[in-house]
Amino acid sequence: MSDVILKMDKVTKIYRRGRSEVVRALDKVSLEINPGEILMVIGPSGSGKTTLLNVLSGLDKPTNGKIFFNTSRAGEGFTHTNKNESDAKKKGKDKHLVDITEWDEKQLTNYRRHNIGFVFQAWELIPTLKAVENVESSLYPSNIPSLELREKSIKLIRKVGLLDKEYAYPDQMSGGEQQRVAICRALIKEPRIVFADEPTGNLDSESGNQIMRQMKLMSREGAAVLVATHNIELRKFADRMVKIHDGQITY
Amino acid sequence: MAMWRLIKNSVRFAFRAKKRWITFVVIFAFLSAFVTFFAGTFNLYATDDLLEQKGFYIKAQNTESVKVNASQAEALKNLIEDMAGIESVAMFRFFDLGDYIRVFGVDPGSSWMFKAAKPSLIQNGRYISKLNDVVISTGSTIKADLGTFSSNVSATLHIGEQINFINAAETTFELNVVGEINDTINAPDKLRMFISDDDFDYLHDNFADTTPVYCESISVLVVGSLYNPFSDEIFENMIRYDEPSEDLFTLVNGGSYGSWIPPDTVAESVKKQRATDFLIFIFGIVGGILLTILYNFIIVWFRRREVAVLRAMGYKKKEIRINLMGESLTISFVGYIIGILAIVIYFWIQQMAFSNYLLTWVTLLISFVIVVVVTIPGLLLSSLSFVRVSTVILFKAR
Repeated sequence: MSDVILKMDKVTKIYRRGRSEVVRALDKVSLEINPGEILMVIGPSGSGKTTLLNVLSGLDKPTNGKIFFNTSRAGEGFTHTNKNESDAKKKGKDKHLVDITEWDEKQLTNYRRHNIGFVFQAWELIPTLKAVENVESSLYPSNIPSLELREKSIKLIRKVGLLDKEYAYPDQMSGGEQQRVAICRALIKEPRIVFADEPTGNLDSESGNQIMRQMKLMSREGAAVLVATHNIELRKFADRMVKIHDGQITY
Repeated sequence: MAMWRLIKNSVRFAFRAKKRWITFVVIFAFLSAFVTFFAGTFNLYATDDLLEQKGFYIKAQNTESVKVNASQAEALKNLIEDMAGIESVAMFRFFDLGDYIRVFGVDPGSSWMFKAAKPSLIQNGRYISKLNDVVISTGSTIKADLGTFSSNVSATLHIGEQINFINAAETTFELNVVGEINDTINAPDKLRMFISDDDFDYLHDNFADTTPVYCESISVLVVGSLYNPFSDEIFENMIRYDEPSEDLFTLVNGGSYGSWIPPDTVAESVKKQRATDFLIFIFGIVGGILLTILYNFIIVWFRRREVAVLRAMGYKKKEIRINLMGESLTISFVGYIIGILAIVIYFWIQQMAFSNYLLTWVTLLISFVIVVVVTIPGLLLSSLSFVRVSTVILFKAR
């Protein structure tokens, strides 16, 4: 059984801008992501980092290529159907590696719901919800009893060092604090993969380091963490690092 | 569990959106008040106002012995209701005081009157609440038969003025003008006065004898169900009264009730007014619906980033819609309640009598449907585009 959790195979993503301009955001990118590691994708702005996160998380579909997800490492409650699974078995390939590019919107939503966590540069907390509610919101559609959910959220918030901030609104917290709440929101559903896009982009270096330490803890708990950044300083937190430039990966 | 949490969360969204919430609640309060008022006044128009022009007057035969008493009136009311298939028939006692004044006795407690029937929408002032109060038609001009009454008023009556009647025995009777009704049809030629039943009796017994009294009579105003643009019920009923059927003619000419006076035919201006009012009503309804839909577009637009976050977190479209719908419904419902309360308070302050007409369950239901229920298709329509909002925006810095 393969140990990778996510595998890109010659993935290309082409955008059309206007009538004639063609932008090759990803150009035959092949990449493997392993559980428990922090993989840092470093590249300047416009290099294709965001597109990479989009296609890996199923928010966007690649133009060409395949993206395999290892279902043997999928989160609890995840179900899927894949027409090629039986073919793979016949050909002797790993039947747990399923191609997410073949999934429809519903399956991709299910994939994100049970496996993916996001940390955004601008935190994207819901301003009308308190910190604890923002964290809980990840699991509102689940059947976890509300009390249990509340306990779990508070525990997580305290774990990232936000004491007495459980019931604060986002606008009552600093950027670093908000980002930690965002990390809790990603963590509460015990994701298999966390996509972080410039997670320290809006923070000072002290807060940024603190956030990266949280990311490290996240990966130690078994999640694969993919951090896209242009900040080379962050490489010290990476288990592995790749560079992306003009849609192509260089190691 | 999950569904309940989503709904609870959506209500939370609505209540905590602060400025945005207040703005939209105010907009919806105005909308619901506007729509309720429109539906209500159209209801009025369709019933009292409209049929006032189509109501007819039944005179008892011009002898002392023939009078329309309460039981006859009630029987007549029931017969007309059955015959015309009309929801309710309102009747008032009236007598003519001279050629230019028609006095109506108003007793909502009477078994043969339609309890909710009162003269018309009070345009200014208030409805009668005590003896010596009188409601008159706006802009009415006194054209007195000399010697029957005097007044210390200008030629055109206004609220706050007093009408003094003096009979042959030099007895004076005072009426205070407390309200005005909109009565463009009759006002130019005839002053119509609505007074309490006790005043009616007093005026009739002590003053009418000195003037050419036609008789003790009743006017019949037909009150139908709310005007429905897709149903001609009321209109047909009106036609029916224009050219009374044999049955009705026989009924009112049957001897017990008096003689039939053909109703006035509807003037062209009235038809035009009716068409204009109908158009305004339709615009009000359509405008209300469009505003509701627009509101939903705006709310989803404001929350597109949050929608994108929820999508990224793996919320299904249905779950996102529940979230948005809960917020929309909460806001529109609170706005609706505030709008209705505002109308009630306004009517209460103005002591207006027609709040019972304006706030019938049909009127409330219409405005509820427009303001609150239309939120659902409105939101679904708007969410068609916005639930698909690209989550790519999340990866861009604000």
